[in-house]
Amino acid sequence: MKRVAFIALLVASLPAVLLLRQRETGEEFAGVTLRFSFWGSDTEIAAIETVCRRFESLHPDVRIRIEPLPWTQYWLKMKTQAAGSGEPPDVIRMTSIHGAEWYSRGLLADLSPFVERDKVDFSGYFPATVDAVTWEGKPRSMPTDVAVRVYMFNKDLFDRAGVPYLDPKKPMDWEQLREVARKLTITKNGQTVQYGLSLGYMEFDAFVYQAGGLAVDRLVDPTRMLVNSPEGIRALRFYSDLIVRDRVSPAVMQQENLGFGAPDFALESGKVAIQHGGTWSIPGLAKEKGLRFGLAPIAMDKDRAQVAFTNSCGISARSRHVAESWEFVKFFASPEAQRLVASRGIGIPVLREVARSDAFLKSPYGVDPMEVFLDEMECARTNVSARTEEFENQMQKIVSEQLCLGSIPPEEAARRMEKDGSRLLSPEPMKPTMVTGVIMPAGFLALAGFLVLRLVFRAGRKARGQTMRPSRGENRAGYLFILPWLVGLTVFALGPVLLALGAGFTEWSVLQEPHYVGVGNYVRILAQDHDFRQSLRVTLLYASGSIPIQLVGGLLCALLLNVRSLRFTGVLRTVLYLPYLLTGVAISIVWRWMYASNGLVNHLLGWAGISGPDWLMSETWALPGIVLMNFTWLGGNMIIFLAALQGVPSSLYDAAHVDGAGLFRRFWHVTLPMISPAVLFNLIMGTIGSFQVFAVPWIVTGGGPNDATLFYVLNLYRRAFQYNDMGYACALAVILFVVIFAVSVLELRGSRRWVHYEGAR
Amino acid sequence: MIRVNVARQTVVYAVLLILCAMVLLPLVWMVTGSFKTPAQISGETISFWPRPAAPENYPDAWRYEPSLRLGMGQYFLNSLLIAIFAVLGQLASSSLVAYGFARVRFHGREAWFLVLLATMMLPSEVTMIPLFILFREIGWTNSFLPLIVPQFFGSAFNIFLLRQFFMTIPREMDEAAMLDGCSRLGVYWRIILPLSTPALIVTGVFTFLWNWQDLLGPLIYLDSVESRTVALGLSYLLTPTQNNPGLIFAAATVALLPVVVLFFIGQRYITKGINLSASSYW
Repeated sequence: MKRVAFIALLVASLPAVLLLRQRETGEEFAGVTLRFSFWGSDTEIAAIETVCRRFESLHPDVRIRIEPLPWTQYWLKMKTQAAGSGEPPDVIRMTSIHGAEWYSRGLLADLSPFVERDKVDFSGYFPATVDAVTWEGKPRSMPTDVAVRVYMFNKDLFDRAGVPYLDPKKPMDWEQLREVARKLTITKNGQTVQYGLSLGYMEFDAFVYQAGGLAVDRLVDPTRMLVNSPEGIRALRFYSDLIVRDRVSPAVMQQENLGFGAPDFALESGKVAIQHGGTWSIPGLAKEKGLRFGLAPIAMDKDRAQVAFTNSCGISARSRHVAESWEFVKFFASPEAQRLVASRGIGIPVLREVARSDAFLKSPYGVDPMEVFLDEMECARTNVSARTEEFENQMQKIVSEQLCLGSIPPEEAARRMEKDGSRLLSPEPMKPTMVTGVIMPAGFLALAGFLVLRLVFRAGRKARGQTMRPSRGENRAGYLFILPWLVGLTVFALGPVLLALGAGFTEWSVLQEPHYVGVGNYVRILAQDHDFRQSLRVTLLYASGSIPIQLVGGLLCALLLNVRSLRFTGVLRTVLYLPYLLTGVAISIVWRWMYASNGLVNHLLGWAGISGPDWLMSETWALPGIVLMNFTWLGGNMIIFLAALQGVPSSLYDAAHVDGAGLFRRFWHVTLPMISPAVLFNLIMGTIGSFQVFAVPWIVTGGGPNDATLFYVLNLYRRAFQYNDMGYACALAVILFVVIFAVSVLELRGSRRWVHYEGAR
Repeated sequence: MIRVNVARQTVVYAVLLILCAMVLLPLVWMVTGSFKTPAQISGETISFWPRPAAPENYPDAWRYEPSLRLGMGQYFLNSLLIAIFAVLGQLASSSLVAYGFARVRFHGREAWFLVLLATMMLPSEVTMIPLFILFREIGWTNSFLPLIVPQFFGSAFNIFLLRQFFMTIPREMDEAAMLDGCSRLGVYWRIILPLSTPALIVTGVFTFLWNWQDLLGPLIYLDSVESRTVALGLSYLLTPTQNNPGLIFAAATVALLPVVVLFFIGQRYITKGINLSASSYW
């Protein structure tokens, strides 16, 4: 009894222990410790760290704890933190891409009182950078550095082709660029071995401005997309022609896989003559031995135009150290700090005075002339900053994954961008009417209630059939034993499902108060949500591919292992089963490289004389690639089938043998009917499993290309944590529940025709 | 007749070996790849054996962290902490509940058991968002609590598995003990649990495996750098600038090592445990 009490005490004290553990991580430092989150490569981190250390030496009572993340995860993590209950970092590095999203949600403190108190003068800053940090006339963060992409060209490749170097002062026009790129592109046997140009992540809006058009009605917090104009279409055509028709630039989606380097670092491959790149590209390129490169302004059409991305530092609205954070942010934007990082490869100084000084112009990497960046800054406007990240993603998707892969013409791209863009910029407010706000939700809830009551009633009727007459003590003991599960069921299953039902009727970002919208979310999901339809399609396609593989493969393994007088079955079973348990991040990582265009899978196919596709970059092959991974996960079904096979009485086989039934007939008429319940079990579990797939596409494809592997849970996660659309995500969860329930019931109903229960009749 | 059998067996072995090679391919590729230079993993000519070998991938991976200067060591501690508490919680709660379902006759037992079976069909992804909202309200995000505390309330799968095992223990044993004055908890503690070691090992190993490899939970709940788990840390290794797959494979190998070791320790019981639960679904 003592042992029980001891265990109970241990169990009860766990939460307390855990809470304590987290408190203990605080340091003994007496002053204020600021948490500073930012993204960056190793060089950028080192540069930012020098600013922090310098600040600490000036302010001994403040310490900066840096929390750097890679760019690809930074924003998602910042948003989860902002939405979470923990404390977000005090100082948050911002980019103008996400400016409107963060400012409009009030996630960053208003800096105007400090700016007024300390009389910060913004006239010394590049105007585009000031535009980027201003929200409703007030500064929300302090600009620290700014980025524009210019041309970086490989001088040796120019020499070899006999093409004169690009002029650092005078930009080419579009046709000249096309000509130069054509001269520098080399094809051998129909394969491009050297590209004249690497457009990389060049922003389409810069091309629109160069053509004399407009991308949106206003740059910060736009309400309408305007690319569906003659200028917009002209820009999109020129941009995509370079890739699709002239083939002088690789598509950004494919270039790394084809061996032409990463975007922004393409010159490193030695097979690209001109690339787009920013100051952050320079340290990497300079490290490359034997690479001589120059800088030039980007091409122009009607006008000279550039898009500038401003990086800044904001202060979390929930920070408890706003005053100290301001000192740090102010320091980062000051001439002293600007000089410290001017040449360190993070960006162009935002202060004109510093940018024009030797601190920036005398590059430690010997790159000349750095003035190219400054000339470009003078004709730059700030990038489009929308309230929702989905806008940026959708535009990127249409440009990089549809237009530049040649699947749609520029006119269609312009039409889609204007339509989708405008819808995302000014979403129709969901106003519940009598029907959508009262009648439909009530009907929905009534239906759900009815189904639940029916289930309860049925279960009750079954239970009444029992002949048990438990005593009172017995009854109480029973419920005490199952109490943990009952509590868990209520708190972690029933409660959340009810919460999802309720929250599904609201528009709710968790950052602001929820609005009641009736069935608005459901209407949007079912009537117009492309992502929802696509994710359902992907999931069902995956199920219809993976389940047969697992069923047939698992059954084959089980049948073979069940062959009489076979030895080593223990070892074989273990080997076949183990990979089934390893479906997490580690193995997914391996698949990413196995499916690379010249990875293991394509080499194996090559030996068989098949030239394999670029699996993960192809809209057609990405999902089949993920389905094929199921060939390594046969163990789960196998072990269930093995158990079922061992339950088939051998007398049945003997009888069939006597009747002269061959191997196949015995399998078809004896084995299969006898193990049909196991088939049903594997089928249902496989279906549910398909609706749970997350880690594999998250790691292997990230849902792309062009949403070809957007699984249901991936979409759900994105809606909830990337777009902070919690109400919408709850509605998606409810639909997931309904779909799984419906599919399972269908499978169970259908199974009555083919599942054979021994002794049931 | 004997010759036919030998021929057939040879075919069976051959097919089985091919199947084994197929399912092991990613695992083998990962381990050999962890000793390779990038060009041997993907490129014009790849090689199966690491030639020349690059064993430095391992120390590099253990220390490597694109930006944080926090090694895998911290991640291992975090994952271990979560997984061990999860195992403790699951074993304690699931075995208690399973005992109730297996041995105590209370009113409505069959109905509740049906509910339990039904919840096995409710994947956690359905409740993921509302649970996040819930844990956020009580201030538990950015801590291990959302990942650990629910484990102390049992899981349908574990309860089911243990209940099936408890049912195979002859009832006479607990009846005899109760006649000797043993309480119900005493029976659970002194008779059922010691006799169920294999089933408890299976439950424990599975719980450990799931929690060790879980990505979605840590991704949602763990914000700060110090609290990252191995799975989360691994996923953060994939950055556009990290172009040495050998290093990442080495990290993946290290991350899978505890799982594989544990599997081999428990594998004797695992298949038995699965057989037991599988054969009682219908």
